[in-house]
Amino acid sequence: MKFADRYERQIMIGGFGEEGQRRLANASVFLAGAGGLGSPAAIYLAAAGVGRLRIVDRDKVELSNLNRQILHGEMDLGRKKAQSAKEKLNNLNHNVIIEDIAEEINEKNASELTDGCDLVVDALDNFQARYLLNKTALKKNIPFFHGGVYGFEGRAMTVIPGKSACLRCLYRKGAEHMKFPVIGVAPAVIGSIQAAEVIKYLVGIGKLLTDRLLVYDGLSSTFAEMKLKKNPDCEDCGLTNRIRANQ
Amino acid sequence: MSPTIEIKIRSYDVISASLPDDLRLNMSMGEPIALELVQGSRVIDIFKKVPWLGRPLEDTIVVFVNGEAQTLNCELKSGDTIDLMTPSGGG
Ligand SMILES: [Zn+2]
Repeated sequence: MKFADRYERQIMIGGFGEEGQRRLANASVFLAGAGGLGSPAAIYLAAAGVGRLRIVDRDKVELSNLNRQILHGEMDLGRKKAQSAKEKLNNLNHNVIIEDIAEEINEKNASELTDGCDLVVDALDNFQARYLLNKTALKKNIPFFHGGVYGFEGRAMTVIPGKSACLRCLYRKGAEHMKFPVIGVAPAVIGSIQAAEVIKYLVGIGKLLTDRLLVYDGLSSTFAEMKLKKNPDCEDCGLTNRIRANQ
Repeated sequence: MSPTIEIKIRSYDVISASLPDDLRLNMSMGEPIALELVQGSRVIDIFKKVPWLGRPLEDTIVVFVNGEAQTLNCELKSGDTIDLMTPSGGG
């Protein structure tokens, strides 16, 4: 199997080329969550030929996950999601180096877990860990690709540290973690958008979702775009906080 | 009678889920809710007039006026479209 043959169709895209493909192959992606958002995001990133994918998910596959978490099937019930994901992605593209880590992301390990990664994909299901990774990405000066879903809806935004609004600029306070309604197509749309953002960032083409929140409403079949601004007083990326952190 | 303004509201996530059935149906067809307010009203006044639009959520609610992030104190004018959402944390 030849490198150029496999990726022929995307190399053809204007501005992509073999150089873009090499950039993907040299990239290390941190994927937080192998669930509803993480499944499509991982599938499209692996198919596109990113070099390395570190998948972190503490959970095991449950029956109620299967309406949306398309990396897992009935035969995976009770298995660790990270491991189940790795197996499917290996079958899809053996060139991608996949690391599966079945751990909870917390204050103690967030920095170490993301070590060596060029960017963070936020495909989590709770705000505690989302905020933690947002902060970790800001500290490490690597981009953060956010996605979230509810019912038939979803949202995505991209954070470039020091340049654009961060997750905390958007949501000052997160909602409590609870069982939320969701249909599989919502994370399918948003996870794919997150993958598209990552690919654009790595290849260096297009316009990213920075200072913009893309809002998908599947029930009315509409996309809306909200303008965001970096909050100078942001708890996580604001100037005063950065100065304090550096002292 | 004091002069009034007419605004449009779109809501999302748990806010939409708590709307009365007819308004939720309207919204899922892409139709915003029209609302009349006294001139000089601010975003916060929306919740005073229609509490089911999210009063219990005021500490997490995110407001956009004509597609731009605003605070609850933003003064509204006729023709404004307001998007109301809370953090969507599902994955
Ligand atoms: Zn911020």
